[in-house]
Amino acid sequence: MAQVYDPRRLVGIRAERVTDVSSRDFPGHYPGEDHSWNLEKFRENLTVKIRRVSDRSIDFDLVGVDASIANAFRRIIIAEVPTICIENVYVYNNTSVVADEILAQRIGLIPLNVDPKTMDMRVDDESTDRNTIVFTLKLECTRKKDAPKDSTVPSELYNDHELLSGHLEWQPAGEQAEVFSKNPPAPTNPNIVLAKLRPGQGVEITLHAVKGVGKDHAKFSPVATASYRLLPHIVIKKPIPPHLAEKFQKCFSPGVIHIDPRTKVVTVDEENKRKDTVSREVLRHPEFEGYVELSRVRDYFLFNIESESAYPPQRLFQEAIAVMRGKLANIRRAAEALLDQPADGDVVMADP
Amino acid sequence: MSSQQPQSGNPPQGGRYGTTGFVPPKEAMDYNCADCGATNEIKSREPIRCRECGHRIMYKKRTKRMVQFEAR
Amino acid sequence: MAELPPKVTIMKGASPDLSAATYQIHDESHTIGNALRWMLMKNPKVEFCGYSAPHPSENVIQVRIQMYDNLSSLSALITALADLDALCATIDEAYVKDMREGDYERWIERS
Repeated sequence: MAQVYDPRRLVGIRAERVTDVSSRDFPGHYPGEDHSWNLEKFRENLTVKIRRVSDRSIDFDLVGVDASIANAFRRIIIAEVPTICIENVYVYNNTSVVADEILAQRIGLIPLNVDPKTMDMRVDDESTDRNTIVFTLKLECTRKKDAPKDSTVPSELYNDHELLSGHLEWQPAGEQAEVFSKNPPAPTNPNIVLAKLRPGQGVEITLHAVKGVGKDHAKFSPVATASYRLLPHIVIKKPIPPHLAEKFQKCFSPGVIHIDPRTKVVTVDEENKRKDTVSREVLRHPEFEGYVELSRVRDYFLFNIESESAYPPQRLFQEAIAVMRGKLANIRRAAEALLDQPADGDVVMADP
Repeated sequence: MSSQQPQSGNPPQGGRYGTTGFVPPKEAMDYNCADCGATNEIKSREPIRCRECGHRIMYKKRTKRMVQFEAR
Repeated sequence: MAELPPKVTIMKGASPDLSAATYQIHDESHTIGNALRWMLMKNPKVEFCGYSAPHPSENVIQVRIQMYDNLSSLSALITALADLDALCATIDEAYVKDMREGDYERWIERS
């Protein structure tokens, strides 16, 4: 049996337009209905269901929230959950073909395995062992003595012909040796090629890693992607003729449409309908006109988060909630301070 | 932006670098041959020529000073 | 370090009883702006609420609130902030609960 949703929850998908995009669940929109904020009702309606987890990504459903809330979390994960990245590059020597500033930029982009909880934000460029991690990078390419005469393969001809992220060496300072003893700071991936070298070329660089957020620079963003889409909803209005069943099935992503092998009855696979891309291919064929209605569920968010940082993917959403609550508390404190100001009609106003 | 670190030893005052004009240092400088890569010591007014291969193009070596960058 | 501008200010032109006012929030964006607007609109005593990020050169958003019955928009703002915090806590709770249940597919992802 097909899942039925309240038509108010659906965003219509037509051949060349979408309908009912905005949410309307506000007080005063529907006469005689109460849509004011109610935490109990919200709690009852809310569903969070984790679907799929790997060590790099997570898929989960967030159902029963407004787009403004889901979007706030998505934006925070991308731009405001802090991570540790290399910020200062001190080049003592770089005779590789990669220019200093290009190499510095590449080094900045390396994801590091340092848990941001263990570090403070650096303010006013005052470095301490609590806010700065030092790495060194030193490599020199040499010719291999015993290389085969006719070889053209760099790995056979030279030693250290590639400068890799794995060549970063952590230099503990102060209490860092103790704090990071279990998990010494290093790149999450040691195989990132930073520069290629030939005999006689080499680099010697000192690096300072600090805590930062994605809105300052994308290198600090903890994710490769953090995105959501709305759950597709497909309603078959009248039975699909058996001779068109396979054509109908091919209009959707694999697994979305089920055809009964015996009776040729066409149904929507409720478990797999989330796989549909909502390509609207079915709406291009005149023979299916009036047979199907496409839509998406406005408050049913399918999140996908790919971590590219020290955070396990499961933790990112919680970090985003924590950042959000921090921001709210901050604004609330400032707003409450305004309350204490004289309320005798003499409002303190900012300059325009 | 990059910024060069001021070297600990500032340029010598007076002496060879006197106010009367710049006199090139007499001691040898190291250059890299553009062809074979060999390091050549060349003094001022010496012919510019590689001792290994005879090539006449030389490159100056990279600065020994530290150069600072922001990784952005 | 230069002194930070105040986080929240009431802009010029607010009614004396604050039943209609525009609040300028420093160092915030659509992230907070849209969520806050939504929560304020959930309040039946709010006649109008809208926000804008006036210009990318200014790191601020402006939230306009107009109230029915000459109520204070400032208390409505504070209530909305508190409600949003409760909403966040509820979502966190639900997320942690489902994570604990552990009823999800685990798979190996190659990099």
